[in-house]
Amino acid sequence: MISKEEKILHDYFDNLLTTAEQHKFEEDLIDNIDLAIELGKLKNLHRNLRNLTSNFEPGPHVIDNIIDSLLEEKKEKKEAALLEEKESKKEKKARKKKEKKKRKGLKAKTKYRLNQLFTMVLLLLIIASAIGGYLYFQEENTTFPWKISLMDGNISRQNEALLSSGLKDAQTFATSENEKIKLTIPLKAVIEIEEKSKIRVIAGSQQYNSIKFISGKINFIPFVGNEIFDIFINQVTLQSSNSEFEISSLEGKLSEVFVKSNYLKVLLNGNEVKIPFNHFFQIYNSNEISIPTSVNINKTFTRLIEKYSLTKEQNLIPKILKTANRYNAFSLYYLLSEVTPINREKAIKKLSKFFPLPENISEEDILILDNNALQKWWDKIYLEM
Amino acid sequence: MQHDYIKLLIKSAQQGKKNSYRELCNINLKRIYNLAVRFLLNTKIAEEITQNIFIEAWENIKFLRPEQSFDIWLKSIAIYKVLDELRSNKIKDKLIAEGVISEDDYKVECNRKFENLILTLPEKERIAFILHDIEKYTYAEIADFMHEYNEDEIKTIVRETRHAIINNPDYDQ
Repeated sequence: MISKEEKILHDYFDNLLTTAEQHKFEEDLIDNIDLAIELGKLKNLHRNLRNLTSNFEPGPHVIDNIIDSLLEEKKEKKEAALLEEKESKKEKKARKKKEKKKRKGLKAKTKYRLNQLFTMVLLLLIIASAIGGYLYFQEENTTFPWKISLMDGNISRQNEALLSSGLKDAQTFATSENEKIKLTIPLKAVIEIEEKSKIRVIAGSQQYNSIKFISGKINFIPFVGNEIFDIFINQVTLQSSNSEFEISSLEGKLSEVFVKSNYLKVLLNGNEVKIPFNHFFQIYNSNEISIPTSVNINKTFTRLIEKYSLTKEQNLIPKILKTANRYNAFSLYYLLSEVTPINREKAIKKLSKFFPLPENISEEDILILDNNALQKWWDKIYLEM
Repeated sequence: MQHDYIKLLIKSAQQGKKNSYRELCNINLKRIYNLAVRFLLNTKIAEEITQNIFIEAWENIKFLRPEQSFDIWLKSIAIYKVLDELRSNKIKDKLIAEGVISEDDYKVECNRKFENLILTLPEKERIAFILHDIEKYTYAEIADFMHEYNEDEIKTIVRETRHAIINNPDYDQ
């Protein structure tokens, strides 16, 4: 039987008390050692439960049995679908015969069509006026023109006129040999464009600005208070709100990004990845990025990570885990989703040694790549790095 | 590199790709199997029901919305299925009839003391305790699963079970 005091203890432990009740309980704890001891036992129990591993191993045939059942089911469905198709063909023929006899009421149909047409025209007019209003609003909201100035070298003939007019939207801008340009987006950012580089201006408003990076080398420096700035590279988007970073590439080839401050969001294939400062990564195959590596000198580790792929997993993972140090924590973090579950367990243990899991997050949560759990661990590593 | 590996696997499985689903099964298998063992106390029955859970999940994965968590959704299927088995004993009777297990074949043990403590709890206490303190369901949700009991009764069961475990001489503090 649970006493009243124990009931309140458990309610407190289960977070079922109001704020006032919690404060009262915490005050009572100070003078009641027995209660404090009981609370400690409950917390201990929960710690043990959090560390409770999956102790039972299913037989290797379980997965095979599941997949075999699915394949059997597919065969049965195919046969049922064929049968259904045959029957529906017969029904279609019978329906067509009926319709031939029924050809009246065309006039009603025509009236209906005319009504539809009228509604569509009205809708189009409404949409057109909305677009017109929006375009007017856009003009008042723009950050164009973007000013250019010479940083180093000589201004090329093609860019001389742009010194006064600046860049506008949908404009492609390129620097020549021995021409280094500073591009200023008012109140938002500065982009230092090295020689033989090419970008395309996409959007410029008070809330949002973006460019497409084509080739060469640029350094992006945001102003404080900059909102979102996107840089598109093939099918990848780099999104900075307060992060300085550098991109370099040769046209059509690998692009390398170095994050210099805060963190950079990388959007690809509908997913979002955050890359912290002092990390490099590459963009390849137009929509993939490599595992980020730290500038921290651990060349052995960096070389191993660069060579890593799922086919080389068994050979490389033991070496990667052995050579990793604290500064390679983020590389280990990103490796978690690139390895099979068995190696993921090992990677989690290694990473936990440098940065223990946050409270309320278990190894199992990370093992199944739970989004929330992964995000919390990322935040913890970022804050403590 | 892909962040959100699971989302990609789910999307692929929803398009009918069995290899992706196989990988999802691999990732979640041990967790679901252990849940089944803790509830049913028999590894053979747990294996059979784990297969059924994943087959049912496959049949319904196309209804999984992008904002829903796959592992929470899968776990809820698992819990309904194991509770149903506890009530009906369909799989147990089938395996006995096939000679795979015997009527007395009901003790599953582990070399971890703490795990054994949980396994030796009486059925009602074990289920409520696992659902609340391990699987993190609320008392209200557990009352939905165990509809023979109301929320207050579930609370009392869980709390008395905690008390019993903490005061068990085999429990290491």
